[in-house]
Amino acid sequence: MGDFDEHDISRPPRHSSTFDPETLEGWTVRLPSTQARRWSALNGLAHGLVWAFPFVAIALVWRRASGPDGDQLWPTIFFTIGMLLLIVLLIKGILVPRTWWFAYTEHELIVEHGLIIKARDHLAFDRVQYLERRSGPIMRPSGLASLIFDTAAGRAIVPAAELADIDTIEERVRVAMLRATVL
Amino acid sequence: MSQAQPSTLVDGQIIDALDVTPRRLSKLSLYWYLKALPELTVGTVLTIIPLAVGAVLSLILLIDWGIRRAFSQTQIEEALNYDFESIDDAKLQEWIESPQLADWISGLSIWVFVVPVLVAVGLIVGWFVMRTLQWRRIRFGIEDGVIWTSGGLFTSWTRRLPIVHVQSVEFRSTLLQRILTLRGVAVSSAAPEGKNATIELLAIRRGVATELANTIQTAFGATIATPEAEDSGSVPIASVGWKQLIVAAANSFEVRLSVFSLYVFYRALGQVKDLKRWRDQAIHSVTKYAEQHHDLANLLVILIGALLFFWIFSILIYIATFARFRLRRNGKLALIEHGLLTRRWRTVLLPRIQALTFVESPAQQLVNDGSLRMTLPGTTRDELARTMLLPAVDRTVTIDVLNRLFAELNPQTGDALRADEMKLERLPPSARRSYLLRWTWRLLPLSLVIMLVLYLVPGGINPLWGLLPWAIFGPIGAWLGNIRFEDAGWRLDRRGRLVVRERSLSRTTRMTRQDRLVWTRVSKLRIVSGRNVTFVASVAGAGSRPGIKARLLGYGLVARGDSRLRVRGLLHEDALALVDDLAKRSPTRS
Repeated sequence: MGDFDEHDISRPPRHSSTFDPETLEGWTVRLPSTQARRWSALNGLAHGLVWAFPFVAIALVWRRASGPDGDQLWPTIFFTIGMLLLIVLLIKGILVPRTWWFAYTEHELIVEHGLIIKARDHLAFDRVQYLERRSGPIMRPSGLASLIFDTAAGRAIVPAAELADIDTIEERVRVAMLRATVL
Repeated sequence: MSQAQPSTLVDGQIIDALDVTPRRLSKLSLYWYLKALPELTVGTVLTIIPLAVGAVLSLILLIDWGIRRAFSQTQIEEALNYDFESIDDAKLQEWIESPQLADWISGLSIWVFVVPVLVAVGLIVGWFVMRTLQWRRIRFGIEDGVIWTSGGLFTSWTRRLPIVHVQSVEFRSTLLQRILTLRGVAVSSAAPEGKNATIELLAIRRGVATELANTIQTAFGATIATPEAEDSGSVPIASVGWKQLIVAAANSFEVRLSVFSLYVFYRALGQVKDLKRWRDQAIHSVTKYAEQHHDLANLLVILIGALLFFWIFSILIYIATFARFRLRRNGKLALIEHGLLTRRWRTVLLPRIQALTFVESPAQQLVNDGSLRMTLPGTTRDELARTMLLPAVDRTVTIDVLNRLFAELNPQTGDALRADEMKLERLPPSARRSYLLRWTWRLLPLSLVIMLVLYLVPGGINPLWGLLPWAIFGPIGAWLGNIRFEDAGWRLDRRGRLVVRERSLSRTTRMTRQDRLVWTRVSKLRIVSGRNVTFVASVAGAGSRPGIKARLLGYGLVARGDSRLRVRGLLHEDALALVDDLAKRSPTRS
């Protein structure tokens, strides 16, 4: 193994629970809370309505403009597309909270996400160049906000987190940024 | 961040005192300014499309309103239901030749014809005048160690780039610019904004270019690469021979490049009158030939011929771009010089290089060659010329080149490449299956779609023919996958250098220092419950803004092209241990 013999490779293989948050020791693990799940579903619904609206509107206007014996096909297709968008985005909103969680320590962040391809992103706080907190009208009443970590190589996103966690993370990122500039 | 430590490179006190008086671009640069069309960004396109749609829609509505105003409902109905069969040709001819029509036309106001022409001419002239005025407003200079350029007709803009944040400086001159003693200058920063992050002066006079170069040299404390600079201050590292370059160019055939070369060729032929006629005739005869001979074989021959032609053409472009390549080092600066017609002199700050990549194309592997590329933060993603450190270099010489290039910064950089020959960590045997079956999985949906189409479309073709692409490319993919599996490897040594080898078509060995890594990722396909995962690490680099796919599929970090170090098929435990190891060595955590 050359230079790589420091770690213990005799750990028992974990077949099913490959991405188990419970195996993290010393990390503050945060699974999506009930509020976050509710927000995600509502968010999906809102997105779905916004996307479905133009299609449904076109379908209705077309139907009305073409009269009772007019073309039936295109309005139906537009209406179906609109409804499919609504359903897909709503289902996505309901399913997504089952796919992600995040965890953090003093120095780093882990975000795990993905429905089909499951990915665990690992980011040190001193690599963050810009941190953004976003909270929409659906999020605000339930005391949630999303966090966006911009780095020199893309951005990591925590879709929804409690304000207490966000305050802690923001403070730690601030300290890490300061240390990185001093170093 | 550790890689952005300006104080180690340049003296802040000197920099603050640097000044170059504000100037305009050379008067002759108008030619290059008008030639460079304004950049068509997604934002502009998204603005233009609704505007165009809106204009067309309002025109239709206006015409509709006019018609309804001028005619009664019954007249419109009659016109809509008009039977065109009843038109008598002779009668129509008579009407056209009748004096009444000629009278009506001559009775029309002349403005009906003049106004549209005037509008068209006005738009074209106005565009040129606007661009010229815009160009005239452009100014540049250096003030307190900040390179700035400003302009703008209605909204004025200023772009300021502190010299401490400069990643690379490029002087270039085309053949025409050399004749006119002009220079182009491009100073790039680390922002991943592509063109916007670069201060680009299209053409300035040679004296001004020298003054700029002198100021930047004072800031860096060393001679940079300029057309006028002498070699005495720098150490020669490598140069590229013609034979090596031609072998390297053989792999340069990419779709993008060939489309570009097609355009260049088309335009080049259009410059000369006789050639232009020949070009149009050739295009005409080819399309006519294809019309007359419908059979597939002829079309294939034409296609292959065209591909071969553009392949050779792209090779020529590659050779012209990288001909007479010289790489020298001056302290912490790498000085690069290349190009036949457009000659470029580039200065790259070596400490700013995030990762090094050794690319061996199949053609280069035959002669034991490869090309050396660098990852700089903020370089535009697809521009090969900007990332090239050496287009062609012997494999055994590479180690020596790297060692000499980074002698002071990071000694024995090249040795990491030598060691990777010996002790690269190999993938577990369980990963081989996914490498072999990769193309099979990818082709299966295509085959299914073709089968479905053949089944639905009546034509007597057996739907089983849909399996043909799968049957042909499946085994080829498996064979390629096996080579990819054999080539893949990774290694993290005690000094914190991460080396990753991967093959797409060319074999790439990418290495970086652990403290350059921005993030790491371990991912796996959820439905297949194997133990093999994909490990990705990314350094700061270009093209890292999420694309459309990333935006559609959701949140997450995106690593593309030169900034990505990827190992596919790693055992899950090994991947997590690697992530942990990389995190443990973080300078801020220790």
